[in-house]
Amino acid sequence: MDTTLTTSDLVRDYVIDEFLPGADPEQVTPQTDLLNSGIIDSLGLLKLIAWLETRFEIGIDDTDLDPENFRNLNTITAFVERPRPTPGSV
Amino acid sequence: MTIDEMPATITAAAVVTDRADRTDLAVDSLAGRIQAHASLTPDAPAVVDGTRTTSYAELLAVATGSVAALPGCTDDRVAVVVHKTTATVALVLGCLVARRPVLLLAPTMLPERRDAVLRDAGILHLVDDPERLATPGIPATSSGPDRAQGPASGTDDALLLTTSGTTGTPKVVPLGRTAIDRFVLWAGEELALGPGTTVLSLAPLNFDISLLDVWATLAAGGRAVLVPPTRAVRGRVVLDLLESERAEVVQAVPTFFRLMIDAAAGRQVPGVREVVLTGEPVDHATVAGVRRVFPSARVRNVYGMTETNDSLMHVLTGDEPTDRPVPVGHPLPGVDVLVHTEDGGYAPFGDGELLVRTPFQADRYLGDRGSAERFVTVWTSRGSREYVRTGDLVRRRPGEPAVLVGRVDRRVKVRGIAVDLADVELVLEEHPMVTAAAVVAETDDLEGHRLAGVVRRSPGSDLDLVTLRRYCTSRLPTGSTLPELHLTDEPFPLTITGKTDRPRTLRAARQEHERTRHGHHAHHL
Repeated sequence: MDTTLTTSDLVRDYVIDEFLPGADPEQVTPQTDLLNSGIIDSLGLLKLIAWLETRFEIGIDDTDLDPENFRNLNTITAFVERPRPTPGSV
Repeated sequence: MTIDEMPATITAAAVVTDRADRTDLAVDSLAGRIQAHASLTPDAPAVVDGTRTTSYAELLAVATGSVAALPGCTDDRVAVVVHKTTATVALVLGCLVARRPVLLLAPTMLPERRDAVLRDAGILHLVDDPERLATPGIPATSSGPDRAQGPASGTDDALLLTTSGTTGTPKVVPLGRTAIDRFVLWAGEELALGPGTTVLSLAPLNFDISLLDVWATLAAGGRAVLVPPTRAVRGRVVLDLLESERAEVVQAVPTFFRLMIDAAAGRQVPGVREVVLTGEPVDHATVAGVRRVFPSARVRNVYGMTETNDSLMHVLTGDEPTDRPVPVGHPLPGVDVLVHTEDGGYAPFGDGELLVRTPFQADRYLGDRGSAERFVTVWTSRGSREYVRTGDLVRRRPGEPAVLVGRVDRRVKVRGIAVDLADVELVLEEHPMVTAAAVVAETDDLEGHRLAGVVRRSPGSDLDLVTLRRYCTSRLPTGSTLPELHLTDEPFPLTITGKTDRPRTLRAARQEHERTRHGHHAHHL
C-alpha cells in the first residue's frame, strides 16, 4: 500500500470511487461541500461512515452523527484524526 | 369485490362506505379522540422524542398554544416544515383541533419547489420551525409567495400531503377529515393499537405512512416514538430503540428493514408483534430477513399510495411461492378495486392497470393540476364511481392474492420514494450544456432501485461531473439524484426502432469508465 497518501487523499479517492465515478480528482477539493452538492446523501453518508469505521479502525457512535463532521474532506480528516479512546477502553 | 374476499376483520361499520354517506358518519374524529385521551389519561405518554416524553395533556397544551400563535385567519391554510420533533406533532394536532387545513412539507424540499407548492395550494403562511412557535415572542413564520388564492373555507380538508413529484411542482393531496378518521380507526383495530401500545415512527412526518405510525397511535392512546432521519438509517440504532422502548409495532419501507437485517447479525427482537412493510414492492429475501429478526411478529405487506392511503394487504405466512412476486394481497374492508384490462374494459379480476377506491382517499389534487388523469370515473354495474389510477400493473385472480407485475410508465421506487425516469431525463436535458440523457434503474439490494445515468454533452462543452451533480441536486428531489453519472461526447446507440438504447448506452459508458480508470491508475504508477 502506498503509505504516502494522507487521510484526505484516501477519503477523496473513496468518495470519487463510490460517489463520483469518472470524476477528475482535482474537482474535489478539501473544501468541496460533499453534502450540499448532492455528492453524498443520507444513505451515502451511512456508507461513508461504515467505510471510515473499517478503514481507520475507529468507532463512530450516534453522538458523532452531526453532518458537519462529514461536510468536506477537511472536516472528515479532522474527525478521523481526532483523539478518541482506543477500542475496548470504554 | 365480493363479500367473501373481504378480510375477516371488519369490525367498524363506519369503514364500509360509499362516497354518498361520507358526511354523516358517526366516526369519532382523530382530534376528538386525542383530546379525550388528554382529559381521561392526561399523564399517559403520547410522544417520545429523544430522551423527552410528552404526555397527552402536555401535547394538547402545546398544540393549543402553537395554533393560537399562527398568523392569518383561523380558516386559512397553513404550511409547516415538518422537522421530526414533538413540537411539529403538537402544531399539526393544533391545526386538526382548530380545523385548520395544514400542509406538511418535507424539511428537504428545495425552496423553489416549496414556493411553487405554496402557490398551488394557495397558502400564505409558512411555519419554518414549529419549535420556535411553541416559544412565545419569537417569529417563526415567514410569508409565502404572492399570488396566493383565498382561504380554504368550507372544505373538509384536514391534512395536505405532497406527492414526490420528480420534476416540476409536487402535487398537493388534500386528505379530508372523514377519510383520516376512518383510516386511523381501521389501522388502530387492525394492529390492535391501544393505550400503552408503543409504535416506532421511522418515516418523515410528511410521508403518508406517518398517518399510521403517529396519528393512528395517538388516536388509540398509544405512544409514538419519533426517530429522526439520521438515526432511522442506522440499523443497529433502530434495533436498540425497538428493544429499549419496548415497541410492539413498526412500519417502514423495505430499505429500512434491510438496514436492520444487515445490522442484526443473529440478533432477534421478539417484543415486536406487528411488522408492516410498505411503500414499494418487497422481495422474498427481505421478508425472510424480517422473519428472522422479528420472530414473534405478524408480517404484513401493505400496498397503497398517498392519494388513496392503504388499499391492499397481504399477511405473509412464510409459504409464499418464491417464483413469483411477494403478493400485495386483497383489498382492505371498504376498498374496491378494478383492473383496466388490455381490451380496454374494467373488471374486478384480470391483468392490467390497478384502479382503487378507498374510504381513506382524496378526491382531487389541490389546484386540480393533474387531477383528471389520476382521479377517474368508471361506470360499473353499480353505477358511476370515482377511482384512483395507480399506474401499477397487477395480476388479480379470484381466490388468489394479487401481485404487482410492473408499471404503466417508467416510474420506479427508490427507498420508497417514487421516481419517474422520464422526468429525470427531462431535467438533465434542460441543462444548457446537455444534448441528451439516458437514465436506467437497476434493482438494488438495499434501496430497491438505484439510478444510473449517461449524459451526452453539447459539442464543445466542458461540463464536468461535479458541476452536473450540483445541478442535479438543485433540480431533483431526494431519491431521484443519480448515484452513478457518466459523461460522454458520443451519440447514444439506438434500438432498431430508432429509440435510445438505454441499457447499451449505460454499458458503453461503464466500459469507457473502466478504460479511463485503468489508464488513470497506470498513469499514477
